[in-house]
Amino acid sequence: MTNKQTSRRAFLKLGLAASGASIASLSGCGGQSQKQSTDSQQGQSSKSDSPGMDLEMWNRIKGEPYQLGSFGTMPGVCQLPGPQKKQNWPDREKYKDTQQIPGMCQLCSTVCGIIGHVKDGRVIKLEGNPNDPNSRGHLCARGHAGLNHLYHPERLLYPLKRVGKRGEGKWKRISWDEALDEIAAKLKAVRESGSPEEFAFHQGRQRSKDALKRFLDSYGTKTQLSHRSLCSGNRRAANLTYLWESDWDLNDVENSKYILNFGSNAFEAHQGHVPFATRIQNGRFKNGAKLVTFDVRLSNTAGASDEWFAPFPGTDGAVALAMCHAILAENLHDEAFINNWTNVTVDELREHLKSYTPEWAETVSGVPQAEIRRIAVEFAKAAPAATTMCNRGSSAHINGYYNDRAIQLLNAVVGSVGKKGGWCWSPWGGLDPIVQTPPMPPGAKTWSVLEDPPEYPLANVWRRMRVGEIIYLYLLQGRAKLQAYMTYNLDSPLTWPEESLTQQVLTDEKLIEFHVCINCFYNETAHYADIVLPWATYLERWDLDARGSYNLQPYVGLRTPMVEPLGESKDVREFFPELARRIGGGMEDWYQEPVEEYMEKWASNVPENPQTGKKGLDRLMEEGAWEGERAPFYEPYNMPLSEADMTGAEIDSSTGIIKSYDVGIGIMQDGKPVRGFATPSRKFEIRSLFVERIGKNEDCSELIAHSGVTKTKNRPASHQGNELDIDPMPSWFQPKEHQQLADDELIMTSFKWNVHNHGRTMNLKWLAEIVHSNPAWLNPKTAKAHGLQDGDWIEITSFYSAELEQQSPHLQRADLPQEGGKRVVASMRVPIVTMEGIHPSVIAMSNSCGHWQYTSVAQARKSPVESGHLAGTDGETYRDADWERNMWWEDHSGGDPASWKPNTGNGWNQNKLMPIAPDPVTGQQAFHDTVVKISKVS
Amino acid sequence: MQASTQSQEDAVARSGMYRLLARLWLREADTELLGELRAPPLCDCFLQAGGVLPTKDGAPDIQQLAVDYCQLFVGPMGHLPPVQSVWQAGQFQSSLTSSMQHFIDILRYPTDELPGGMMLDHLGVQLDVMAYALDQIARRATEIGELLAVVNLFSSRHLIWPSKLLAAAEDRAETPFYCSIVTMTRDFLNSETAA
Repeated sequence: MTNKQTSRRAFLKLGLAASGASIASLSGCGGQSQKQSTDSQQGQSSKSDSPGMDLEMWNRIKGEPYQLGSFGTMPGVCQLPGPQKKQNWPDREKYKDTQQIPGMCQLCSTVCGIIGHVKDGRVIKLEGNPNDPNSRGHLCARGHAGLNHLYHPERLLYPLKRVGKRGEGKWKRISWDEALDEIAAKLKAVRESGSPEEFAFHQGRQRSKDALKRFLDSYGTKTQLSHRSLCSGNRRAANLTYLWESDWDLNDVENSKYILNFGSNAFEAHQGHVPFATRIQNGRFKNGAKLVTFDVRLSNTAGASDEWFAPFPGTDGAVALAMCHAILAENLHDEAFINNWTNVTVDELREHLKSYTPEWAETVSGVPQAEIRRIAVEFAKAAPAATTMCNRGSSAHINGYYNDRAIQLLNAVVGSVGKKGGWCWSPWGGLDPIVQTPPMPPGAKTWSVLEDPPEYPLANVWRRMRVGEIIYLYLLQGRAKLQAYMTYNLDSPLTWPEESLTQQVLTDEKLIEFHVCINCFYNETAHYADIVLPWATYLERWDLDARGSYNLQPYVGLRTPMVEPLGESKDVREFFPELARRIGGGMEDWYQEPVEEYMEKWASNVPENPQTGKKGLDRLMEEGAWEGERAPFYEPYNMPLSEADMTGAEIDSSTGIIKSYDVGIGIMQDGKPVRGFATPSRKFEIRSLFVERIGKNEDCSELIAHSGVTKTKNRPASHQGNELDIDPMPSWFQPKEHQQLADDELIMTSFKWNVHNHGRTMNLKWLAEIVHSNPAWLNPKTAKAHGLQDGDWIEITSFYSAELEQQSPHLQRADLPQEGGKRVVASMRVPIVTMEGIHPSVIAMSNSCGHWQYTSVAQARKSPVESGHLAGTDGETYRDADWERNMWWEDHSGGDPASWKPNTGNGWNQNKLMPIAPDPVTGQQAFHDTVVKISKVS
Repeated sequence: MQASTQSQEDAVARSGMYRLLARLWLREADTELLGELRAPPLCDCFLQAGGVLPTKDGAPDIQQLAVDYCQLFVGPMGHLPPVQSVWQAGQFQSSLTSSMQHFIDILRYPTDELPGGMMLDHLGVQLDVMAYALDQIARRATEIGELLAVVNLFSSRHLIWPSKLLAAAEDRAETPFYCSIVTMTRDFLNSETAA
């Protein structure tokens, strides 16, 4: 404002005044020296208090002055590997004398073991931890970019409180005490209102299950919302239908001879990503396995396969059933397995599959019947070392539950279920049960339509999968109310369908009265919060963690703080206890010890390493992970029951089912008591009476008792009046809109790149440099039919599902515009790239792109973006030299297609076009079914 | 070497100025601080040094100052983190943080009195370290030469960098108070260099 240079005399005068004034408010910044200064001025010596300087250190280092910045000898941390750096790589001195601290990645859900190299209190490198039994020392690009995450210049470091209107972007910093006091007061009021379920906790990716459960159960709300229905609901439900004891197939691809992939992009984005991908490649190149992929798009997995077929979207199940038909027709099925270990006979199966011929499958999928037969025969001949694999490619459809049941059926038909090299699973979906969390509070007993929507019968019967994509709609419809909403590592406006609806509800203070956002970065969710709490990164906090391991054995991994959290960021393990103490009412009783002590208790059963003498947390702190000596979980159904198991047990003479205290524990097989499957029939349930009955809200108590999985829910009263026909057998149907696809209509699909997760990695410059934009993929034939060329811009208009209009009337909204009798979701303008590697009826866009409230890198701007309220117009701001030099993708077109240059900008949020479209059985979001129209932007 | 009375007084004055600025950069202005700045003898000196005080009647109020401080230096987006690593290395916790740690260790600067979670290469910390070092010079009978050498080296490495930050913050400040603080910081650091 003023350019007048103030005289030095005025500064010294002010300095003297400040020094002499002994300003109380200056305490907290060098208060000790302030006192000394005042004493000195008053002639009162306080030299005895003076610690003096460290002359020894000064004399030691002054001759070799500390080098600064990227041009010095100290290792840099986040520099892009530009040409100059590559010439000097690897620098052998860079990691000399570093401390190596194990941890676990969390930039995707795979949670690979990592090692952080720490020097001078800074993490300077991340690499894979060879001790991790699942990831075996491998780490993907995302994992290496964790340094960008940790030291990002736009990280949230302090609690913030909204000052302006919600969504206005105006904030002030508050202390943790202020933040926790305010949150606690609100949560206490909600609890005392008698409706604790009106406090909802909504998580994105979370790996601190115990901490969240402890907090929510001790508070008394069960309204814990997740993103499972956006991810894996159908695959899980299909697996549970067959197995009951596990929702997660762990395909033993490393020992396989034939891997049949339906739409999974394991080389880039699968939940098992690197551990799975490396085992697939081991299976192929060490074991001679063949990899065949069915995918509408030539993903990196499809491209690296031995064969790739592009079926019509959502027809994976049809192809799979036709393969089952072909295998039975060729008598290549495993008769013994089907007859002994499934609950149907071969003849029944033949009869059921009679109409699912390869010729029929060709008509719906476009895959030639001869190829379907050939692949089916190859698969059957390779069995039992043969397995299917699938994921969102087949699951994220309106008919996804049936797709996945059909795909998994192939393994039963060829008898590869549970076999070495076959289709396996493990009962240990997470940590080895040897480690037990310190005592947990009893589960909350509340119910909320948001947490358990009655329209989706299989969403929550076995596991709590929830139907996340409907919650904003249900709030808007007035079906639920939220007094308090706490989001955690969530970016729902970007990653969920119907961006506009999500923003509308998040903005409305009547629908969501109070919103606390916990995150490492300000993002599209934080933008609509009332209080933002800065979350510590996964490199700064504690967890015990593990995934279902492809070794088919459980393990224990440790996430540990490699460095102190930056700024005032904290993990929930640190501030939930504080919040609990403030809320009171008994919550505080569940927080007895400091975090590290809690971790010590939790890890205490990890046995001693005879070589180091270390055990428990000490052992994990040194090794990062521990795997016991259990046998891999092959053919668990053949495991014999012990005499102890059989003591007092009863055998049903008609079924052979063995029960103890009226709960199923096994089955007689060839006259011997064995474990069997943990299902009502104790067999692999091709025909599921349970799903048929639970869909109709019929009593299933006897079925549940036989399975032994007694936590299974039996026709919840809240579901009454919402009956759904679920086929007890694996079957398939095609959504109505796909049957009637017009010539000018396409089906939109989405995908992930190998360097990004859905909503959190576009802010990492190493990754954003590799992928930052997402033009729509079109087949050249399709482009030509629409008069388009590579690089042209199109307008995409998306429509609601006609199938769901009929099956799910509760989703309908009268306020939506219509076009040609169809309800319009949204329109968006994007450029196209043409390539052969996509089905002609499909248009594909990657997700992860198009952020508008995330960091500068995520928005592809060299300068940090200016919030709307900022008065300044000067672009001068801090500079990252690497970024300046290397961020060549900044878009200067201002949104004008005519001046846009390919591969610039930060892309578009593809989810904006997606309608809320839950599979009617499980609630999984059908990301790959949306019918769209396109037109050229001239 | 013993500092002369004149140079002792000079060090005390400079230390006081650094400390006042440190306080202003480290935390938002609060009622207590504004009260002291409005009272003699600070008030006149502050105004003469270019400072602009909010009016007593509450416009702009403490909340407006907090919002301005936040959008300038805290975030959540488009802000100007007053942290040397951010401006010189494009990230938090670069090797500059390690350098700051070395100076802090040499001077035995008491970091436990800093606000929680403070980056060591935050401008407020750097100003306060300088204040502390000048205090040492003002009152110590020995090690003056070494202290001066440390101060000079520290200043050259950790107090030359903020010019771009200050220019940008001066433009972006929405309240006259913070605009004047930024200007005062710039002018004072310039006068230190010139001296």
